[in-house]
Amino acid sequence: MSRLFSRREFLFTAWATAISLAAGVMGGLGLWHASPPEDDAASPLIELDAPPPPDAPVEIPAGKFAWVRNAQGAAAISQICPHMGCVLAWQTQEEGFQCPCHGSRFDKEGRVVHGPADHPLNYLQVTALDASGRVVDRTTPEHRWVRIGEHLRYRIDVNKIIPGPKDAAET
Amino acid sequence: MSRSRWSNWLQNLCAGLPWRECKRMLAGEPPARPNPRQRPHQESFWLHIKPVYYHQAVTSLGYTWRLGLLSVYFFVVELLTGLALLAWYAPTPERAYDSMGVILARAPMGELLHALHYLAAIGFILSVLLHLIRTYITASYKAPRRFIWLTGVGLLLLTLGLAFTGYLLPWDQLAYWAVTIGISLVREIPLAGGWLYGLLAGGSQVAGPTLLRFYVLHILLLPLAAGLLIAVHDYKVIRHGISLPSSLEPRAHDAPQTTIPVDQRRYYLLDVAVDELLFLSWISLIVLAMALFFVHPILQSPANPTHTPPEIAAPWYFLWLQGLLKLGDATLFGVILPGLFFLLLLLLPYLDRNPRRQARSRPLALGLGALVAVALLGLSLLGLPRFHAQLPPAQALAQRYLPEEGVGKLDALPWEALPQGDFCTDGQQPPPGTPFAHVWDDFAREIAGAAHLPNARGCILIQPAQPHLKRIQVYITYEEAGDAAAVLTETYRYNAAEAGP
Repeated sequence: MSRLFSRREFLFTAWATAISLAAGVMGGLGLWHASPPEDDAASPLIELDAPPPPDAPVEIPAGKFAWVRNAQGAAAISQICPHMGCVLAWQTQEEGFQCPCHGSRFDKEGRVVHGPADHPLNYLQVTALDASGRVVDRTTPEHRWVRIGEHLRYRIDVNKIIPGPKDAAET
Repeated sequence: MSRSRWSNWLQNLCAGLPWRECKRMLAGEPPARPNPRQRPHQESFWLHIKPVYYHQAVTSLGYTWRLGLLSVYFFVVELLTGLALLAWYAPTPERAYDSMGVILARAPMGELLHALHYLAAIGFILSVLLHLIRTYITASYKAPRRFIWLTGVGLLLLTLGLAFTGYLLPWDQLAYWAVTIGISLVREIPLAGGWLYGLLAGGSQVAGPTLLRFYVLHILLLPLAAGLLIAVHDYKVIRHGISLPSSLEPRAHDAPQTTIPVDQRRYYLLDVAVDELLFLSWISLIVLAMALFFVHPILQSPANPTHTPPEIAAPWYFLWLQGLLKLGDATLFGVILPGLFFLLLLLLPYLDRNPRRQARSRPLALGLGALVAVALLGLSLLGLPRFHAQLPPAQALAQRYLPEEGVGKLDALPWEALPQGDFCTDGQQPPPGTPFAHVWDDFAREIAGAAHLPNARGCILIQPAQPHLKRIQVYITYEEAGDAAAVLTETYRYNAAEAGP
């Protein structure tokens, strides 16, 4: 009578499977151990006392964003290039942001002027607070520009990201 | 000591070769029959990684250029100099840059060891690349040596990985931003990209955990993997022999090593060994002379995660990738295309089924190879900063003379050649005929000829800041749409020679 497996073959296959599984699990656990935890932000909140000046944006290196004003209000536009993560530089002459690494350009409101970047710049969540600390206004994906007013303070959460405007029609 | 103990001792020294035979070998006499000189290759570990003899056609310098040997040599130099640098290097963001300063300025022979490590890294990449090109041109990757090619491409990837991980360790601006770009590519890998990025970077940006992880990869995991793969590669090369020139071995599957006629053998002991030793001595001499007199890799300013310096460039061996990235979508051009390229390169011996090895019988393979070489060179050219960094003209001009990172026309001058003074195109002029005056003349000419800078006025200000420290500034004023505008770049120059360590 012929059997599918001999006892020896069965035991050998079982051993090989068990050892491979154990090695795989140990490798996986090692990689899991090295994966960073979800939230590792260093200093997510930045407070500003004044709205941006009307002409050129103010660069805030500590948060890697530009403090920008337009007719609708103020916004904190991330200066991290969505392409490869270099920090953009504001170019007065061109009235826009340029990437020193691969040459992408963005306009004052973060729209792509030319690539290789194919995403607009991110906006960071801005909360406007009055003198008593009450929340007066807060930016959202539908409302990217925060209200400007006297005696207002602005709190920027570097970790709360709002996608930027894709085309000229959107602001 | 009795005569027999003495001769035993000598025989051990000769890796198991009887002393009489050892003397004959050193005197250059032919081996006795049966050949006793094969024994050291079986008895000794270090000799068993070398074959007993080669076909005389493959031992001339002009055929293999000894590039495999050279790659291993540079790998070993990297291990030794790297080990020495570990005595001072500290892999934390707070201390890495300062520890580099200690290595460069204070540690005995630190600057030399650092220059050697830097040069041997370039030599390592170059010799691995040229080794691959030689193997491609002579069609040595064909059966039965297909697997050797596979391990070779694996070693190329490990070499690039070693270079990339080592690049971050000085923790200066160039290191930080080149690695920020390189590691961002990982994020573009479909599906697993975000997780792999986290695994490599240890967070959401290049920071302390990244440095530690790159350090461990650089000094432990990658060298270990490369060492193992070199062993496999070497074993297979000995097993199948170095491929003969295609005139002697015109088709794949011809196995030469076991059938080398006696009159065409060249023995490793002592002929080839001496050749290799001489070759490596010359290379060592050249590398040492370069490290002592010509190449002094410098530190840039310390890494600043909030500011990317203008005109940043990848190291030369990654310029092609930087060029490719400028063409468009990062996933397509940064991950899929390079990934496909390396996959095709890896599988080349299994895709190229043409058994003929002579150049005239493989026009497609050689044509494609030339095309790839031209494409890589073109992409590298495109990767240079001049093809993307359209700085405003005044800033570009200032960068040419005194760049934020690296060395420009002005700070290339030695300490003595930088005279104290405030020189302006409409004011004080430097004494003519000096090296500084030449640079000044170029500068003044460029200011006067700059069409985009109406009413431009340029100054070079050199003033003592502290003993043995000069502050150098380039200051350009001009009109922009009717308004006054200005650009300023500055650096400090330390006179190490006079101030002493």
